[in-house]
Amino acid sequence: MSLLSVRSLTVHIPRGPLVTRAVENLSFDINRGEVFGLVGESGCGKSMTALAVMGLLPTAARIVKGEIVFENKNLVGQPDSVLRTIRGNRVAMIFQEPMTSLNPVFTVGFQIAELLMTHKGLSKRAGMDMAVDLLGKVKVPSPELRVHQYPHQMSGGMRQRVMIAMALACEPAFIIADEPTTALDVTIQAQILELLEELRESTGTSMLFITHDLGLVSEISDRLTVMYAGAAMEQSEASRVFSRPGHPYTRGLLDSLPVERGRRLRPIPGTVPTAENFPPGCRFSPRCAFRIEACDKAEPELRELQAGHWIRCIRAEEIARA
Amino acid sequence: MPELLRTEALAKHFDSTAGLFGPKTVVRAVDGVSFSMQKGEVFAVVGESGCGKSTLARVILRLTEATAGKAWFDGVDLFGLNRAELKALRRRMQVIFQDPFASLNPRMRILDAVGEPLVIHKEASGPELRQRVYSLLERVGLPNSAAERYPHEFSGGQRQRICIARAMALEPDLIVADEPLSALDVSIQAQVINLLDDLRKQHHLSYLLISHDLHVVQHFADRVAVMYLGVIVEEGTAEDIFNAPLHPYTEALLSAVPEPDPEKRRHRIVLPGDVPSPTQIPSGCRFHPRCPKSFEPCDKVVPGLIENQGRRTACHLVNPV
Repeated sequence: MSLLSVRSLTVHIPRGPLVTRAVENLSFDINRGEVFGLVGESGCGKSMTALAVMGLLPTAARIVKGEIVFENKNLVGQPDSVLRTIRGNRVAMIFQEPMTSLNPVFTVGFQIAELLMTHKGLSKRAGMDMAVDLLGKVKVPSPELRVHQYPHQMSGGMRQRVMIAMALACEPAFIIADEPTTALDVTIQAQILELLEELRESTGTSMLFITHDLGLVSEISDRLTVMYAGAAMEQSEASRVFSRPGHPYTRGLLDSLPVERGRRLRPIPGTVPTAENFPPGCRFSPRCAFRIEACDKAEPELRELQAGHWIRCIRAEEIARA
Repeated sequence: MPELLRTEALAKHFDSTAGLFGPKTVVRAVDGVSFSMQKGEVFAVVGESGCGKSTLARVILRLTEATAGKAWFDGVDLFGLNRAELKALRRRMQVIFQDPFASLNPRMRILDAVGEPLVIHKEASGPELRQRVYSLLERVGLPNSAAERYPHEFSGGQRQRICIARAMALEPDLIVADEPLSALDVSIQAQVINLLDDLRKQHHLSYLLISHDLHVVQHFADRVAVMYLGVIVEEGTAEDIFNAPLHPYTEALLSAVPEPDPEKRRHRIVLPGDVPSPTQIPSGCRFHPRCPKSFEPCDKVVPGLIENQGRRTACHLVNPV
């Protein structure tokens, strides 16, 4: 039984006479204890998906279709009062920039305690005690001192640990991590990844891990979806996407990565389509090396080629053999 | 290959005050950097935020004055130049910055932005200027029509191409590229890497590449210097550094880079703690408080950057005291 089930989620943002199709017909399920990755480049809709799940979409954006079922309840269309009991409590979020997501005028301890006061009815003193425990759990050194510090007194890595402590405060069933390590240096990122892996072992919390980093997503997630211009292009186990990428876009991303010394890179030509020049048919076809006439006729379906491996490409079988 | 750029014990310290009335402290951003790069080479300086790599680039470009040390560009003492001489030398040394949004004036047409170096150095004007700009745009894969447009009409990748065209305008010998790819998506980044590679071959360019992205450096650089807290801890050919890092910091840095291919993954070495502040540099080896291999002399004796078989390492394990 899946913990979170997103069904045909479609988010549109009207822009004058045009519509930006931020997310289109996106479906995925996340099981208990699973880390599910959403990977793609800027503007592919991965963060919009996270915001939709949290009920935090910008006011201009509209969910025009789809369901977001969490613990057997459809969150789409729920009033904010209901969502507020879920956010930060059953579902928590870790954002990219801990400096902008922490309040600069309160101590980190108070910000953690506030969550517990709101959702668990704890007193301020009990909340602060709990905050010390939580900071210890995310390996902030000398938590009893750090709990009284303000965000600006901490390094980026420490602030991200505080964010994780806040996410864990109410023992959520599910954490959304949106580029949680992007603002950090690699050695600090390694610390945070290690921490997330340990917490996953000890708490069994499921996670939706959103990133643009192909290396990162393949190291941390069990299954993943590759998104492009709002739609899922490929969905499978993480290991399979990298050993046998099925969609030309996934292949293009991997070929663009400078991993092998001296090998000429094979970039994907062109740029991501915008609302003004959205192609008919397959949204990737203008940049695709495998494009044929039929690609421009109709939007291809996401098809299950092998058990658990879904690809949105009419030529997927041929490409797999090539 | 002849030498293009050399620095000797280059240092840049900033005075800073802790708080409004606090004691004066000194930020030792670059703290004694010596290296030499050859003509035609891609020399990469890698390291994490605050290691001093960007300050090093700015000192070499004389965008900020060095506190101590020397630097020579093609045999010319960079710090002994007067204004006119410096201006003349800048024709041969150009720069590309990280953020292509911030480094183009939003109110200047691309024609004026790319042509500006040619105007400043009185190389071209009028119809000739326009022709030169067209040919520069063509070299970076942009149509002539781009000349009449403004920066906001272009994507990040296209803007970085425009910045590259501007850097190429005076046919420089050296381009200092400070994180030129960090703001770009993977598929666009690959386009720009290939462009930089082509330009290098066609115009015998050298690059001083400042980067934190080890994948890019491994792919593109000939030689690599790894910086930590203002000093070089290891330097060598890209092959040597990436295949067999000697310094424990380099080793940890490489192991921490997420790798998409499960077969190429290294065992992740997680360093404890944060990088210390450059106002309070640890005694002895500045990496020793975080080093998993630190031993007895490390907190007392500063390790020298010692050359052995074409690579240099500053570590007591590699060069016993």
